[in-house]
Amino acid sequence: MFRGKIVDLLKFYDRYQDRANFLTVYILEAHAEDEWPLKINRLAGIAYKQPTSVEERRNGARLLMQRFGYRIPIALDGMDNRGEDLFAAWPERLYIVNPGGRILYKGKMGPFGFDPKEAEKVLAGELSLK
Amino acid sequence: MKLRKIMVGLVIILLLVAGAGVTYVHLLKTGRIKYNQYDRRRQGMLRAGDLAPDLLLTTFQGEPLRLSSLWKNKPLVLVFASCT
Repeated sequence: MFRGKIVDLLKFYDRYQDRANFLTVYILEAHAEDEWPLKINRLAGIAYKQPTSVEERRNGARLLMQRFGYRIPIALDGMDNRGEDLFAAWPERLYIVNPGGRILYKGKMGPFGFDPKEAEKVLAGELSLK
Repeated sequence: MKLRKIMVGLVIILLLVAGAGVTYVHLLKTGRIKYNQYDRRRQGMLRAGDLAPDLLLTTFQGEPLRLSSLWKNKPLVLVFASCT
């Protein structure tokens, strides 16, 4: 689950935010209440239906920032879910894109393959070459 | 002798069941078997070395943001996620 990786992700962000841009694209909910509810979400008081408007999607992003101290800048995927679709991003996935737009790193699919530490090693290696 | 054969048979069956279980969990984790109809995991077509697709997004604050504006001078670490 993405929330369990926030600490590692924020450490990565704190160490490299001066040498790389960071952006979170807030996509389709992984475990919307009306689709695939999880008990752990209900216990945490997080129960969202799959957003049908940008405002509803923004509410999820707001929760991430306010409740979990998430401070990586967030943008919202469109309601056509184009970002999620093009990047095969659901439920969560990491990419690193080099200056110029070539993909340096495509993380494995979440939740099991979502690995901020692996991405950090790749970025560190790339930056050390320059 | 008969008991030994039964024991060997049981061990083989247990190993087969365990192997099938491990394989099933592996296929679930790697997305090759879906958990249910809402499981949208897929590998997609993009690979390292490909040009990243550009996107026109909306920032949390409501401003338009073109993804490619973030990979002009520095690498871009791109996180796709939701809070659930």
